[in-house]
Amino acid sequence: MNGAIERYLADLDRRLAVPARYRRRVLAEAGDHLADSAAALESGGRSGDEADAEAVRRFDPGRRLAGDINAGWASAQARRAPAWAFVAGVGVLAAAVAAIPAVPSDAAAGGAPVVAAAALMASVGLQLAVVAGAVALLRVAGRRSAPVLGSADRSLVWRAARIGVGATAVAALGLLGVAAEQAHRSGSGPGRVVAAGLGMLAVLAAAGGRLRRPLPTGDAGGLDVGDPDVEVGEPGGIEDSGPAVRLSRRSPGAGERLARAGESLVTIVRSWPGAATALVAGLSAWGAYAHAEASRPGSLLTAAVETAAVVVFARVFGPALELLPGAAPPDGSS
Amino acid sequence: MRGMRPEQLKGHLDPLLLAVLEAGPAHGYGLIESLRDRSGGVFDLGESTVYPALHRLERSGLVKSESVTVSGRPRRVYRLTRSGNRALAEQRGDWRSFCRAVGAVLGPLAASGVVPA
Repeated sequence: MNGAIERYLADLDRRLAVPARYRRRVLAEAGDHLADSAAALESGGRSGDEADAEAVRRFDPGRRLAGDINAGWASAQARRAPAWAFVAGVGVLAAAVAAIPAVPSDAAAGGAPVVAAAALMASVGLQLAVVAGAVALLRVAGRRSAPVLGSADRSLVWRAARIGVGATAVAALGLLGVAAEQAHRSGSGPGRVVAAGLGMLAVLAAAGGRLRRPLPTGDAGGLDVGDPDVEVGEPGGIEDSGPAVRLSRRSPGAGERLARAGESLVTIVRSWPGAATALVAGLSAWGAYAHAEASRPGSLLTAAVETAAVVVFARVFGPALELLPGAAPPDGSS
Repeated sequence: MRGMRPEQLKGHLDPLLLAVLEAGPAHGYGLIESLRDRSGGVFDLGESTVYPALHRLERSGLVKSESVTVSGRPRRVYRLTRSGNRALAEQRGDWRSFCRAVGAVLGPLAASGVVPA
């Protein structure tokens, strides 16, 4: 290979934003392709240098390959993000179930403030984790048949998954607080609580590590299909020519249609943010009050704290999860 | 005949690649050549566009790749999976429905002068 192909591959290597193994594969395939193409051109009568330059021109005339590869990889990673948030949630709950029932059931009698506060932290954290996880899952499921997730969808899925894991970590602290307090009261020792804590930490670290990867920068490439809901002919459509049938997008299945129906509900929430927040806060308060009154004092305080938590979370996380109008925080992607 | 613009192929490349692989395993360069030959030169797109599509199809389980030796050199070759066969059959059906609908509106190819009667 002469300079033209080597320069192209060096530029491609610099612009790829994918893991090392996948990068090596892309560069190898590109190099092999260019070698074949140059050989064919040379056998057709061109000089070596001309053949190499022409091979590069035919291979990637718009220098879009790096962007397309990056977009495809980012899309695949974003589609896995809800799964990691789910793993974190299940892992934390499993560790909590393993730790807390080891304590005698009457250890919570008396409604110690520390236990109540820890339980509230766990409850609020889990609720936020479920909402964030549902947002991420609905977006991924609702775009299942699209070849590539658009950049706006990827951003939302990453944000929601990170919020979900963060909220799960808060819930984990609450659950460990409940377990520790009850273990202390019953005198059963810290062994199970420590083990549960280590298990939660491992699961959260694994999920957090997977979701820590920054979003790729740079353009999405020529084949980013953008928003798959934008049909040909609509203003801002990414395809302004070609047939209306988008064969690369498979027909949406039942799960995808259900997810889109769920997102339609979110659209309704966004149209009535105040009413939606008040409704959720009211339901949450009623649930907390009904549960608290059954076994613990301070039921009104618990309900008030739940209500305040819902309102605060709606204001803080609502725009980031695109549940409420407002600007989502910058996430480092361009 | 003027080649189709790359933008016009957006959204349709996947089934075309699956159809070419139906004939047998191939590497990227071979796929591009087959696509060009079978379309009579109409599908003459930037050659690198097949690779993001192939990688996407592989993640979806519609194709599978492996490293084999071709002419003494290791090459990554792609082949259709059973899921890919099913997806191709489904997309062929979609395309035939689309063509029938368009043909019903535009009229037969002979009447429209596209091919001799």
